[in-house]
Amino acid sequence: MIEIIGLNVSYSDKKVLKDIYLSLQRGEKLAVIGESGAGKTTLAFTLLGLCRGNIKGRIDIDGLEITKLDERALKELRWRKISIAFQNLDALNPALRIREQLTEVIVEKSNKNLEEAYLEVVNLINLLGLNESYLERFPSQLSGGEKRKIIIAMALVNSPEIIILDEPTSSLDGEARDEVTEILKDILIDKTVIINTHDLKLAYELSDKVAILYGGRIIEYGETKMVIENPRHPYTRGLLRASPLLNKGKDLQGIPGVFEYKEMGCPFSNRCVQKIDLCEKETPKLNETGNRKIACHKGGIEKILEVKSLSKSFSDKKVLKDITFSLYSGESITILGKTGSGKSTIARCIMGLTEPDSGEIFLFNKRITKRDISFYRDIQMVFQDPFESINPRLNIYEIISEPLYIQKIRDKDSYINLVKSVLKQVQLPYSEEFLRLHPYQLSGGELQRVAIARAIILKPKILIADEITSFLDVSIQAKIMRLLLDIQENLGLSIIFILHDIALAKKVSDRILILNNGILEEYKSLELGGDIYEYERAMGRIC
Amino acid sequence: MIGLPITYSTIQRDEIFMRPSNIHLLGTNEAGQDVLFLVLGGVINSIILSILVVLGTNLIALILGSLMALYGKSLERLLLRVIDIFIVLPSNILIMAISIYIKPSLFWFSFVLILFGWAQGTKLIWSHTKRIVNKDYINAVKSFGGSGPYILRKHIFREVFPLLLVIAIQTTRRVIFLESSLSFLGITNPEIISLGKLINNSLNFLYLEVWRWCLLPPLLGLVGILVTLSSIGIYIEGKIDRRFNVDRDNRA
Ligand code: SF4
Repeated sequence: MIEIIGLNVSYSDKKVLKDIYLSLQRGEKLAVIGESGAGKTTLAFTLLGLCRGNIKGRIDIDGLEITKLDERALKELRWRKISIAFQNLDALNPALRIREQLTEVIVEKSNKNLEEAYLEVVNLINLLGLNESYLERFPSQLSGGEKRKIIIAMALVNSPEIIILDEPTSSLDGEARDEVTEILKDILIDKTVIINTHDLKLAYELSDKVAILYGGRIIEYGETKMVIENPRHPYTRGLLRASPLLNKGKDLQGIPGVFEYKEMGCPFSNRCVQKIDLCEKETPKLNETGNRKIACHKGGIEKILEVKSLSKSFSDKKVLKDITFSLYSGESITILGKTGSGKSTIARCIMGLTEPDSGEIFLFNKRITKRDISFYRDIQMVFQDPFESINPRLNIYEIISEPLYIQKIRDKDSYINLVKSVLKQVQLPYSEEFLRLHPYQLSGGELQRVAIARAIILKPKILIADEITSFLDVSIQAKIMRLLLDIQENLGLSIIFILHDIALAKKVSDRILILNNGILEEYKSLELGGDIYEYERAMGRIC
Repeated sequence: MIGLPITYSTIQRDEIFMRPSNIHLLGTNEAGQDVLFLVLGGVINSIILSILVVLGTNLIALILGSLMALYGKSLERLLLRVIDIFIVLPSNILIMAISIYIKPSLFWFSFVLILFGWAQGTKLIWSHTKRIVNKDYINAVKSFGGSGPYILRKHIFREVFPLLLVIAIQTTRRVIFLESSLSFLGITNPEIISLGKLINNSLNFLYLEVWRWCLLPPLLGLVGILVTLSSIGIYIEGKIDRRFNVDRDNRA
């Protein structure tokens, strides 16, 4: 029904939409998701023939190439074939009653008289949950939610086949938002809909397909359920993490950096945690990968660690039985289990501190057979008890700079600056005096921060945090976990948390894996549709 | 220039059994040799022997003990069995027997003492290192890519050094005691001056008043050395214990 082929739109020199290819069948609902400035509104306006920019490429609606139509033909099309519910609540004329505004559109665009138009309008606003009396009001006499419904009604009055909803729930509070969403679900059932939104929950509830727009390009496209439940582009995952409505479990996280306009390379490269040199030079194409399309040189969020069939016994006890799991770039997962269940053994096997009986470990898709010095640049671990994991005879400077010495990082003069910068990141003082202190002069919380600083000084890709707060007070626990999430956001770390506390696990992880009787089970993401109680039941079984 | 070890033939002779005087501060013995020189010679020889044995046993203890603890596995188990065997051997009797048989020079004697003396120290260093290598800070060092030699150099040697000092003092005490006992019994090389031999010789002249300057100086010298070493040992052990306690308190 709608076919967008190689659409490029620019205003003066600035390209706002680049290489857009989309197709929409009759009755299909597509959500276009992106932050403000991503190009969503330009796309909507181009579809309506309202875009004043320089347009290249073509848009076909039912075989009609609308990019070639003149203004008169477009006017014919607008409101009857395709209409839009604007984002701006001020789109209503403040001087006219609602009745006048709605009937006017019908009378103007059809052969119906005022009376017929009025009946139609009453019908429509009833469907939207408003009664007739609202028609006599002026926009100023309506609440935000009511105005939004009227704007939607306006887009629906001539029963167009295609409806564009531009941020239909923006500026609505939770209750009004849910009400509007429910109504839209019902009344749009047989329509072809394009929903411009930054609200992932709305997209999840209303659309069949989703296109994620960033810097004017589609970077991920696929079935909504699949894309939102299991995002594959780093930006989509970032959006999901930042969405308060979807993120039921994990603390909200943002996406590091800000959008920068780019002519060349991947538009997301300045914020991406897994970028490579190519990303700056070449724009990735939107390629079919599995069940969706992704524009990423790495085929989306890459798997950086994979553990396959890991088993370990101590004397006669099988502690780990065929443990298999993966860790993706920038992700945080939790291995949850009761004390003594063997969680830490998994970490130790990965780090090479314990020899597994069988199993394989892959780092960046390469099987680890022996761990040389470079292995430990990519993967680091913070241990449970800071007093145990730090040599009490060393001072803070010696402790934090030790990995640099071991890794033979050449420029010794830079050590002091590196040490100070990681201390800053873990929110500890970085004066010379502090650097000369010894572990016993610090509290548990401070020392654990020192341990974190030491673990991140090599800028690893993966951090394993083995029960790092179990020796700390609850208030400090929360601070340390928050700190790690912030570091994750800034450095793009992937973190494996090892925890026994389900509440804490929910706060910090994208996925939770529960270790029970040596078997590791993965539970559905909490971000979406994941049943929070499922974890509790699972934990209840084992605790 | 006097060669080492100091032998009886290097000490000049005068009249026998001379009383202490300005020329011979502690008089002379039955061979007319200066008692003070003889006692000093005996002490120096004991010190040389102790240094050799301490160097040998400590080096073995440090290297073998820490490597066993660090790398573990089957070699560790095997060496522990060997150590246990050496510990239960009646080493003093064996040392005596060997000495009677080969009448060893000072260097060979030190070798025999090392052979029967390395096991205790090695086991001590092994157990201490084992405690350290199981600590998470060693795991942390490994997880930065720290190699075995690095861990030994930077973390373990530093930790076991005070223990080596204790082992050294115990070894010295044992060496001096053993050497003087064996030389008292006339088992060691008769040419080498030794406090035990001096004491033994003096005992033949107890009926004369010469024992006062012939017997007392070597006897008091020997007792003095052993008591001093014991006191130093006790002091250092106390210090180390306190250090461990401080660590524990800080942990708590
Ligand atoms: S890996 Fe490269 S291409 Fe993929 S999202 Fe990151 S910057 Fe873009």
